[in-house]
Amino acid sequence: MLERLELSLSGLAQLRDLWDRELSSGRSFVSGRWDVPLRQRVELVVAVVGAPFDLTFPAEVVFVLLPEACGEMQFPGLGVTVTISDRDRSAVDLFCAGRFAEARGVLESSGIRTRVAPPPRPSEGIRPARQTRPTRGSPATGPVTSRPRTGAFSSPPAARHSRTVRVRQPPPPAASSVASATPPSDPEERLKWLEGQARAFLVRSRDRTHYGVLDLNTNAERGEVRDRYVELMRRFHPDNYYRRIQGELLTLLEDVYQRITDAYETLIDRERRAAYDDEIRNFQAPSDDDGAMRAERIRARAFEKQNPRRAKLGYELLDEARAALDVLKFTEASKKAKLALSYHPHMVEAQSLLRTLEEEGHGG
Amino acid sequence: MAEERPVLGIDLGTSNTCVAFVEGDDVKVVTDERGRRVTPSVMTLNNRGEAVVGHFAKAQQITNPYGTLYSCKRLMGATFDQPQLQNALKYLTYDVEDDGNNLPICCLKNLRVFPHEVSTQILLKVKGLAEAYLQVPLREAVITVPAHFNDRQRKDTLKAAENAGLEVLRLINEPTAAALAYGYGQGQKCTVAVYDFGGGTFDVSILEIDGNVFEVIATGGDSYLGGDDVNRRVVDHIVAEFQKESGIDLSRDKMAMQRIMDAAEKAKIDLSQSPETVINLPRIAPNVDFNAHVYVKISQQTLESMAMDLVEQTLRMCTKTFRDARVDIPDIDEVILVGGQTRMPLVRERVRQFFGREPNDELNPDEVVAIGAAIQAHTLLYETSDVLLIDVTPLTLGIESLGDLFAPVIMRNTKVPHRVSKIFTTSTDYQEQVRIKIFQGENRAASENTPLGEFVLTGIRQALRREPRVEVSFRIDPNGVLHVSAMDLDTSESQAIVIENYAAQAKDLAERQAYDDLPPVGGHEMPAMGE
Repeated sequence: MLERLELSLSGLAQLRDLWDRELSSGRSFVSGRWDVPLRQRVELVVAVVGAPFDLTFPAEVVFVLLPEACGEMQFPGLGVTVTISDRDRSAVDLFCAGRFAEARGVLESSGIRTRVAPPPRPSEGIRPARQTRPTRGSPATGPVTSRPRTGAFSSPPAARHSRTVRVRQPPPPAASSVASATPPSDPEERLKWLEGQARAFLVRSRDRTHYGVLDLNTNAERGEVRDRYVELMRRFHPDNYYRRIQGELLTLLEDVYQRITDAYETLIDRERRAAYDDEIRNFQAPSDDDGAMRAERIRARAFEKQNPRRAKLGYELLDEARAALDVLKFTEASKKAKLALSYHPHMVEAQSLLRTLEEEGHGG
Repeated sequence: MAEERPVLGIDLGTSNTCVAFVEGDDVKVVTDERGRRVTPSVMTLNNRGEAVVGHFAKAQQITNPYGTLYSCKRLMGATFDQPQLQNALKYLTYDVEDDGNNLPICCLKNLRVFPHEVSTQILLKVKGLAEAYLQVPLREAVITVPAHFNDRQRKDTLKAAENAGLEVLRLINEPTAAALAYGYGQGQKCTVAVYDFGGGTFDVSILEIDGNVFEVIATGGDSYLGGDDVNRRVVDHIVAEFQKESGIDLSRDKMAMQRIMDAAEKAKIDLSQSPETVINLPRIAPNVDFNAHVYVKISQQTLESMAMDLVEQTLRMCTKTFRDARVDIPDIDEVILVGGQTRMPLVRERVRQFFGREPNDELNPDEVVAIGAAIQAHTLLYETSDVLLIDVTPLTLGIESLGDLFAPVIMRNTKVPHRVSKIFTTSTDYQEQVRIKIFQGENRAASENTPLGEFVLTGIRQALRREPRVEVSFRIDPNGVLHVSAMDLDTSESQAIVIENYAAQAKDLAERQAYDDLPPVGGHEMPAMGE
């Protein structure tokens, strides 16, 4: 049976189709109609991970699958077999981060059996990856898993995997983390804190919708919009710091003020909000885009139609980048934004976020 | 914190000026030595050529119509050829001339003063009163202006204050100040409308109050519509009645006009209380007919029929403002009356009908604005309360584009501060200058709006047309005053920018005096009191 699903190109296409149809529609891959024994399926997916087709197929499939999977999984490249009888997010996270020993520890402690598999032997038959290791120079026609997966798996890019976690649990609302932060009492410290808050606010607002800026759901009522506005004004209105701030910080705060006010004035007005909602729905570029940006948005839309998974993962990474920004982790935000772009190269939001970060000197 | 020095809230009104300050948990109104709480915004010169402001100036006004300056706030920031100004001039008993730069300048016997210089004198006077009252030197103040004041009028006010040695913490809008005085410390969440019908201006503002956060949603008004206009209707009526009776036209006789105006204002105030009043001015035209007396009876009804269209005009502006605010009249939780003219029964009645509710008149319409200003002044300077005013710009700001078209840059009712950047380029090869005219107003034709000035971008990089890109930032600051700056986008160098507006052209008093060889005015010291 596994041989039938051997990683030919058509097999991949089949897998991808299934993926798109089943998983993106919210139904579970595992409970789908693909009646391969779980163990084999997982191996198959593992094999996929080692395959050099990042460009055409979402390699992270395995990590999305992992929490769904029950049973025994082998990671031949690591020489580890994990039997997961239940979902265990933290273990998955650790796996994703490449911290295998810790992951094992977590799994063991929650009663999940793991064992170190014997070093894989070439003759061992059914594991597609090994079995189908191709000869050099024939990746297109031969089996797809042409790259030795040992290398690929032993050093997984941490952030790339952690995106999977986001599939199931979107980051907590960005502003809430900021809102809960309390300013230091020392006046000078407080201004520094304010500056950090203001900068973070601007960077993460730049490519957000008005809802995102005010940190509201799209179905927020007018009262909520106004309440949030008042709350933000109490924090950011320059008059709160009259004469205590000047120059750059004042300008910064005025920019924050203006951004908040723009969002508020659009969302508080029924007509303008309806028009804005339409705009978001139709994914139209905001009117202040320049030509290049509009073109990029069109490309992004096309890309998203063709690669819904990658797009989704890209956006999830973007969320993570913003979440990192919320807690002023600029370097991490920049890393995540870059990763987001590696999945969704046309994502305007990530581009502009990265650009802003670079302008702010956090490009590295 | 060191002991808090008091800061003033000054309501610099068309007819009266009022000063308040915060002391402890109280807001107090400054009184003069006789306990009077407002100072007439009237100025004259004493026989030493020094400026005298206040009650004394007002008292001698009737015998000195040529030499008494009043209602100067209406002239501030205006151009001489402006129709509203020309209309206002018809009723002023003192001479106003064109200073040569299309700016009005008030002419006394041997001195010409700009309207903002009169405001300076008024501010000096009230500052002196406050200092005498508080026994400390004062410097900082929040000054109120009509919400509908344009950029020029605001800049003139700032200049007047600066010349009076006051440091203006902020210019705030009168209706906003009134709302602050109303809602301060109430901790409520409501929507209010402020109907401010003062001596020279009308404003209406709609605000959302949430605790101590006061957010102006929209404002509207007319800075050339006020109680003065009601007085003029009464004056016109008296003049017409007298002419019908005696055949004498008084409208060119300034002395008579001054007496009639004075009587008209008193009659108007009378009629707020009683159904009928009599205007009795004996020997009104002694040079023409010694036995000609004005004796006119005016009933409340007559006054109302004369003032009706003015009141209707204010209500039309209310309708428009509600449309701008996208608030429905029934959503209003309170209507606050401000300004002396709201004492008129007709105004109250029509406001009641319009809003469908009893207006709030608990606040003293003469003092509420100064009180609000004092609260804001204190809040800005000291971290003692969480008061926050979020105000808007009353007029659309724009630039002239091809063919006298007005191209808006910042729309009216935009919350301030606000900044907008526009990119300008050249239209011919190797063009060295770009000239941009700025206007404020709501008319589609640029020339119908108020010109704020004109700026010239110079030193533009030598290049083919459309190649240089100069970014011009328009910023309206929290005072509602415009600032312009420019930057060359290719070199990131800030661009030379020359703003040519009237303010730069108006010569300073000192300079003018040297030129005109006129005697000095009281200067910036306390003027000698005539009382």
